[in-house]
This record gives sequence, C-alpha cells and structure tokens, in this order.
Amino acid sequence: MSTAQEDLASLIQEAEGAISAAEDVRALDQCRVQYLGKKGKLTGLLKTVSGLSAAEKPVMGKAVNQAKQQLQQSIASRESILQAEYLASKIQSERLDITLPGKTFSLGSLHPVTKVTRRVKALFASMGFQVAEGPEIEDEYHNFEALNIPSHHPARNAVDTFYFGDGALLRTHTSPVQIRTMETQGTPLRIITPGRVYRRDSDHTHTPMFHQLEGLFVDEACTFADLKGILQRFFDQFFESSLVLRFRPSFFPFTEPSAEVDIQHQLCQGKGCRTCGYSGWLEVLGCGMVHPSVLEKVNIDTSRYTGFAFGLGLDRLAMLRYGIDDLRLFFDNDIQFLEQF
Amino acid sequence: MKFSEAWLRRFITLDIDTTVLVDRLTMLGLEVDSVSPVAPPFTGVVVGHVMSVTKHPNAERLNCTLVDVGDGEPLTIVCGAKNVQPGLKVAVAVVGASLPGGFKIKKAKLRGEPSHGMICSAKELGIGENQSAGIMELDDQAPIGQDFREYYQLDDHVIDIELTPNRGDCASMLGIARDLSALYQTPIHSVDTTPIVQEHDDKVQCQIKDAAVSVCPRFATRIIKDIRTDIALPLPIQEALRRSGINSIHPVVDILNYVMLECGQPMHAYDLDSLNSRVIEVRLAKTGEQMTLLNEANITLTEAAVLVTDQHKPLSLAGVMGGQSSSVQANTTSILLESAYFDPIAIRRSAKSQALQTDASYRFERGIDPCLYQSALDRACHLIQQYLGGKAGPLSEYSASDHQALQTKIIDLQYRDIERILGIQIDKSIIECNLSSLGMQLEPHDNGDAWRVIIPSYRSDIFRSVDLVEEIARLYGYDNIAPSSLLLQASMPAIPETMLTVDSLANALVHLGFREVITYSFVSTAQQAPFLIDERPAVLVNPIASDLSEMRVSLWPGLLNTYIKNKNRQAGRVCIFESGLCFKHSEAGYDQYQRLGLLASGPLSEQYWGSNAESCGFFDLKGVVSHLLDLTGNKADYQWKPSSHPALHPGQSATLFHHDQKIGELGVLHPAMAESLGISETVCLFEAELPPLLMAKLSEFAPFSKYPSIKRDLALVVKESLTAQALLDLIREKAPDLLQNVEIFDIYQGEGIETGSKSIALELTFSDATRTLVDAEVQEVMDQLITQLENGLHAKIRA
Repeated sequence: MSTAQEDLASLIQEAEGAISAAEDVRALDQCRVQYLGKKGKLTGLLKTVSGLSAAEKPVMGKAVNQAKQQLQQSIASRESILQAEYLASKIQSERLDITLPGKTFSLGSLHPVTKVTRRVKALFASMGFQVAEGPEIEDEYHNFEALNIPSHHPARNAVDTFYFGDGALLRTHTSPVQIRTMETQGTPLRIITPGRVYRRDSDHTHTPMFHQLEGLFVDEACTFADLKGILQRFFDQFFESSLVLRFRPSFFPFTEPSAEVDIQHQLCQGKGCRTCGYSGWLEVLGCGMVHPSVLEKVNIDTSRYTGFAFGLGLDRLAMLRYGIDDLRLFFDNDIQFLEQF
Repeated sequence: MKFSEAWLRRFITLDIDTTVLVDRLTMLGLEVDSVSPVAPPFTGVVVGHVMSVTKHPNAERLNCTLVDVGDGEPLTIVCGAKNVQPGLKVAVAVVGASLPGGFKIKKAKLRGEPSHGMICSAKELGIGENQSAGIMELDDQAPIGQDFREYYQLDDHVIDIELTPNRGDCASMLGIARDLSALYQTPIHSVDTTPIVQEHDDKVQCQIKDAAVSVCPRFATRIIKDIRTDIALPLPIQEALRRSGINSIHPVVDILNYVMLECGQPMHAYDLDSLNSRVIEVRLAKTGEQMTLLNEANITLTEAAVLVTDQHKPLSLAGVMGGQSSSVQANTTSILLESAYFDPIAIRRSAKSQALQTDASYRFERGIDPCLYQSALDRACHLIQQYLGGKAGPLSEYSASDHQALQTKIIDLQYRDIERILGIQIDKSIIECNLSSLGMQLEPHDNGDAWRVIIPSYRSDIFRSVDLVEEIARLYGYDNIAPSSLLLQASMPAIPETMLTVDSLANALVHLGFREVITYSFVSTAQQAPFLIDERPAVLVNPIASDLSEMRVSLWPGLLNTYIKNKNRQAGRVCIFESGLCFKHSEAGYDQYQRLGLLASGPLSEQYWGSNAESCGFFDLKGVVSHLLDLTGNKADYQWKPSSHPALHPGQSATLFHHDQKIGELGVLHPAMAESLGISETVCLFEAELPPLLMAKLSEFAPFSKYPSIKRDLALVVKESLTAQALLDLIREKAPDLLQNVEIFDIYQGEGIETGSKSIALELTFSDATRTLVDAEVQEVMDQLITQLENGLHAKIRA
C-alpha cells in the first residue's frame, strides 16, 4: 500500500469517526464541510492525485471517489438518524394532557317552551300549516264574541280575564288569531297560532301567563275523523312513541262537536298514579269542529266548508316532554334550569 | 258537582261497577273529577242502645254506660262524650272492631273500670269532621244490633263531576240518570208524584211587570201551614245531602235542596209571617236599594239585580239567595214555597253584580228546564208534608206566554250533515234510536233523508243541527269514530330569503353563549319607571298582583329581574336574551311591537384553565350585536351613535340606527341605577326593535381580485375626542378604489403620546381586480391619504 493509500484509509477512518460522533444536524454539517467541502480534507487529497505516477493515478483517483461516496452515504444515514431523534424529542416535548378540557365557546340554550314550539311548528309545517300571529292586547269581539262567547255566557266564568278598563283585554287564548286570519285570508285555511296567553290564575299548576298553540283547518270535506287522525299522528310523532289517545266529549263555545284529548299516562302505563290524579290519563288538548256560528261571523259558507280546530298548552307539552314537574320554573328562568335544555 | 253514587243508582238500575260507571260518565262528556268512598274502611261497628249512664267513680269527665247491642248481655263501656245519655241510639265499636287508621278495639280498663267497646263519634268513623259534636246520635228507629255500615249505607262513593257550562240539564240526579238511560237504553225510575191535596185557601198573588216579565216568565208559590218544628229528616235524605256537599240548615231548606239535587229545580222558602201582605212581586232592583242576605251580608243593589219583594221590602235576591228577614227559622210553622223559571242571563248578571255564586244561581245561569217548576214544587210540598206535616194551600201561579225559553224548539237535521261533520256513516236507525233515547221526538221527511227533531224542554243547550250531531257522536262514542287521514292539497309557502327569522337570531345568540329566557309581559310600575322615555304604559285594572300591573314597554326590567334573581343564587355568568312583544298606549289604542333584548354580565365564556376569564364589557356586547347585524349581510345599513338613554352609562352607551331610523340602544347599566338595584358588577344591555334586525340582503355575486393585495400599517396620533367612526368615515370617503379594507388593530394612550391625544393603529389593504399593484403606486396613495388626514383631522403620523 502506498503512502497515499494509507493516508486515504486513515482519513476515511477519521471522517467516519467524526460523522458518527456528530450529535446534531449542525455538527454533521460541519463534518461535511470539513471532509467533503471545497477546502475539505478529502478534496485536498484528491488534488494530490495529479502528482502521482501514471500507474498510481487511476487507482488512487478511483479510491478517493469511492471514499467520497462512502462518506456521503454515511453522512446521509447519520442525518436521517439525527432527524428521527430530533422529531422524536420534539414530539416528546410537545406532548399534551389531552384529558384537560378544550377551550370552549360557551354554548347558550333555548328556552324549553321555544324548543317545544319549534318542534310542534316543524311537525305541522310538514303538513302545510303556516304560522299566524296576532296581538296580545285584544278586544272583546275577537277574544269572545266572534268565538260564540257572548257576554253573560257561563263560559266566560271559566276563564278569568285581565282587563285594561277601556274594553281592551289580554287575550285568554290564541283563538282571536284564528278569527283575524279567517277575516283576512278566507278559505281554505291551514294555520297554527303559537303565542303567549293570559289568565288571572296563579298556583302550582297555573301561571298568569302561559303559551298556547292552536291549529285551524278549514276546507271542503274536513271531518271529525280527520281531526282524530291528524292529532293521533301529531302526538305519535311529537313523543316519538305510539300513544294511546282518548277523545272525550266536552264543551267549547267555538266548536261543536267538541272533545278533550287525553293521552294515556306513560309513567304509570294508564294504571293511575299521583301525577295523573289516579285516572291513568293526562289531559293535553281541546278540540272540535269549528262551530258554524263562528264561521258565519267571518263570512265563510258553512254549506260548503267545515273546519276543525285544536288548542294545546305548549308549557304543559314541554313539561311532559322533558319531565318538568312545576310550571312556575318556566318563568323563573334560573340558569340551572335553563342550562338543561 | 258532587253526588252520592248510591243515590244516583236509585234512579236507574245498571249492572256496572263504580269504575265502569265513572268511565262511562266521563265518556258521555260528564267528566268525573274524583271518586272517593264516603267512609274509610272499618269493621265491627253496630247500632247500640244506651240503657244507663253512671258517673265514673275515678274520673270527673268519664261516664260508665251499659249499651245493648242486641247480642246477649249489654256491654259495659266507658264513654267521655258529654252528650251520652240513657235512651240514645249510638254507633258502637265492639271488641274486635277495626276502626279507620287501623285502630283496634280490645277489652280494656279505663281508670280502673272495665270497658268492652267504644261509642263512636262521626269523626272517629271518618264520616264527619266535627269532634266537639260528641258521639253520633242515631235515629230512634235505628235497629239495635244492625251493622252500622249497612244502616248508614256507607258502601257508597262520592262522585264529583265537572259539568261543562252547556250541561245545566245534568246538574241533578235525574239529569245524569237521563244521560245514562240514553246510553244504556234503560228506563229511569220516577219519583213519587202524588197530587197535593189542598187543605186551605190562603195564597199570595204574584205580580210581574214591565222588564221583569222577560226575566221571570214562570213563577209559582204554595203556602204550607202548621208544619212541625221538632222533627229530624230521615237518614237517607240527610246523608244524600251530606254526601253531595250540602250543609244541613233547616228541615224545610234541606228538603228544597234535596229536590233541587234530585231534579234540578232550585226553590226557595219564606217564613210566611214575615210577609207584610199577600202580594209579592218580581222586579228589577233600584240602584242603591239595600237588603241583608241569608249569609248576613248587607248588599247595595244595582239595576242588574232581580228581586222578589212583598209590598214593602225585598224578600230575596231572586234565583241567587234569600233575604235574612224573610228566612225560615227554627220555630217557623207557616211557609211560602217559591218555584220559578228565571232567565239565565238575568240571573248571571244579578249574581255577578254581587259577586255571588250559589247552588241556585249555578243552575239558573245554565238554564233549567222551564217546564219543571210546578212538578218540583209539588214534589217538595209532598216531602214536607210527608216528613214535617203541614197543610197545603192552592197553587198560585204567574205565567207569561211568550218567553223564548218556553217555546218548543224544532230543529231540522239532514242525514248527510252527520257524515259531512263526523266523517263516518252511521245507520239511520242508530241515529233515530240515539236521539229518541235522549228524549227527542223525530219526524222523518225528504224520504227519510232528514228529520224534524223536537227538543225536550230540559235541553236548553241545543239550538242547531250541529248540536244534534254532537249528541249522536256522544252516544255513538267518540272512541268508535275511526281516525282518518286527511287528503291535503299540496301547498308550497313563500319563504322570503331577504327576511331572517327570529329563530336564526336566537340560534346565533345560543352559539354565542346566550340563554333564552321568558319573563312575564307584566312588570311593576316601580321597576319600569326608570326605563321610560316618553312612553305611556298600558296598565291592568285587575292585575294578579300589584307588582305585575303594568305591561312592559321594554324587555330590560324583566331581564334585570332575571339577572338579580340568578345573582342571588350565586350564578357567575348571566348572558341572557328574550324576544317578545312590548306594549304602550298609542293615539289609536295600543302599540304592540316585537323586540329583542340582551343582558350580559360576568365572564364572557366559561372558565378555562389556560387563561383568565374576562368580564363582559361594552365592546363584548357590541361585538355580539355586530355578529347579529352581520347575519343580515347588510351591515352598512346600521350605524352606532352616542346615546343619552337615562338607564345607561353616559360614557358607555350607543344608539343603533337602521337607515337613520333609531331602532335600539346598547350600553352599560347606569352606575346610579346599578347602585340602587344593589348590582356591583358591570351589566351590559341591548334592546332593539326586531323587524329591522331581520332585514337581510339577497346575496349577489361580485367578481373578486385574483391578484395579491398589499397591506400597509398606519399609526396616527389624533385628538382623544376623535371617534373611530369619524376617522374610518374620512378614510373611506377619501380613499381611492384601490383601498379594499381598513381595520383598526390598536388604540394606545400613555407614554410617548401627549395628554389629550391617542394613537390609532390601522391596517389598510389595497388591491385591484385586474392587475398586481406595485409598491410605488400604493405609496403614492398612502401619501395622499396621510396628507388628507393631517389636514382634515390634524392627525400626525406616530414616530
């Protein structure tokens, strides 16, 4: 082995040692410059090749090039090791306790009565019922007389009304909206009327303000059997369960025939318990065929058209849907109550 | 209306148990509210006869009695009741008896004396409340040794039905029995109707004049003399009344009440000797006229009241309540009985004018059978004579011929209408059968496709054919009408895209952390006063409570109330909103306007471990509102200007304008108001009319630049009083088309900025739709802009 070859061998050994000793990418880069750079040791050795004999020249030239390739390879493999190590340590240092809570945008909530109202609206909207609204300060005509409740009718005793002293009153039901809509839109008609109503009554099952939703359907050939059908469907869909309904004869001045609708109490399966007053039934809705006197008052031809109407308490529906046991909670607006919906 | 099941069953024989009976009544439309046994379970109580009473040797208040219970030797029983005396018939719980509450009777010694049973009070048997009345004193005729439950017919229920206002005809045993009779096609057992034998000629003359004729078309009286005053009514009558919730008052009154419950006709009895003449009159009261009622109330009358009078004084408030001076007394021996038909509306007005409701007015208001007055009078007279003796005089009657209520109603019923309304076909034979069983007479016509239906006089609720359809459905059974599916004509409603919905605003607020509340529409005057500008609130004349008397003009009082309540319950963060109507007087009547209100206080978001929760301030709520305005896509239509709302902090409040129209207010609650409400935190409020917040813009595509934009920052020192709005307005006005956007990113006051000035840092973005801008042209624009700001606002570039 010539001297040049010995020098090359020791240079390779030295370089390999430096490469494997490089602790990071920067140190490795220095190695590259030190041995393979323009002024590097291996480059220097290559320059000496031209001074060698003709016999040695090709041998040595080839050997230096091989050495260069070998070192390049060593550097590359060391580099990939270093990079993997760097990534691993970076990942390690960035590790989080992912069980800590996320940074939240606090979510608010809709009032349970609104949630239920939207649900009822959506179900009836799918059958083409449109929402109608009206004033809450009403007159005697729209709240009573147009609904076949003349003054001095015993039915006026059934609800205690808030008055303003000038004939104006707070509507006791959303039925005046039915009258107003029939007056302006005529037939055929398919509406629901959600809204606040007021009765002078306050105990654990009554608040002086509550929410009602009434439905009105006026068309040719609409019948009591259709009313039963639509309400059965509604309650099944609303409660997402097949409910047993009971229609029992009742009286409202603005409908004839009239019915109250009870649903079988799910909690006691109709056996009767404290909540349902041991009857097994919960009263949820009043309904009937619109009284011809009401239709006549808004100039609807009763020989051609019939209509049905129903009214339900949205607060009561929310109580049943969400298991709320006290009506007064709705208007107390305790955050601890509201945040449950 | 309460009644005894056993009493009802005396009118109709039905082979059904209580549960079925109750269910059938409810399904007939006579809704049963409650059913309760007339007595709790007990055993071992028999009728006894007190043979002797001797003082207990060792106890002042006790007696030792010997009681015959019809079974071997009389029993020795120690008794503490004051009213125990020899000869009395009593209820005895014998050894082995089990009383209500699980109390067992055993052989015992009381203060050394043996006692083999207990003489019971009504309360101990669970059939009366009054303990002080002592032991029950049974009728002399009570059979010794008979089981007390059997003797007292205690295996019975009190049924309470809630009569709908139309079913006055069912406010009696007879009425309820009629409905059951129609349902079960079973006859009713009629009551005794023996004709009255006239035994003297004394009578009163009834005068009804003028307006009273329409109020009282039927009025009948009969005088009964020489009735006995020392007789108690038989047990079944007493118990029937007690179980119906009617107090025993006087044997005559009790009999009248009994007949009223039996057939539905209210009647009245006067002490004959209190009448100053033999002429009585029915008339409307004169305003200011006074009388004292049976309940000892002195009342001042109006013309709404209807009176029965003699020639000097009112005798009764007709159809409502008797007068005190003419009432029957314990020693009354001669009575005048009155039975009449009064017009329902007149009685309702009369009762209402005195805020009274009695068993009589309840029935008259609902319309009693106008043909009943005479037979009811005879029935009452008959029972009085049977139990109290007395001699009856002739019937004296006033009768108007032309009152509407007395006319027979005939209604034409078309067969096809039944199917048109109910949606099912019912056989004609069933219809005829149902209506006939309800007492209607049917005359078919038009080849049997229609009927002339004659309505019985007691059904005052039936006016038109649809009422008959209901009767048919009721008896046919609502349950038997199969539900059908509506055939709907497809419709497609208009959905304007330029109108946001309240729901979409509510959803946005929920996502921003707000909770929806629903507060009462009425608030207290005091609460509302600080929020009034020039509105005149609508005030209720009969509020449910004095602090709920005024209709809200603003949503803020309700929101603040909710805030305070929640704070008192330790809530940290209260971010709430409400939408709904507010009210005020207008020239034409009332303005009722939709509003949206927000209240925010406490940390804006829930506590987070990585940062400190900041409390909500003016700009936080302004940011929330801006977010809502962004939803419209029309943000440029809304402007903020400084506000002077009295409830808001003068330096932290703004008025919201929509196209120069004032629509709302935003701000921090005025510190003085916060203090008076005991609020220590910053409370931010916003309220606006709802409709302008919903006016959205239909999106319209505009081409956007594909070329890069250039951003330049600019820090200006301006006067402290210069508003950001004024600065931005000027920049937008002066800037060329190249300026695409300008944003404020910092406001600074302090070191390096002289007092009275502030630094505003802006980021300006330039772009062009057709080309890439070069620095030089942007610089030129910037230079021009700076010059204009320096000249227009005395702004200086911050070094």
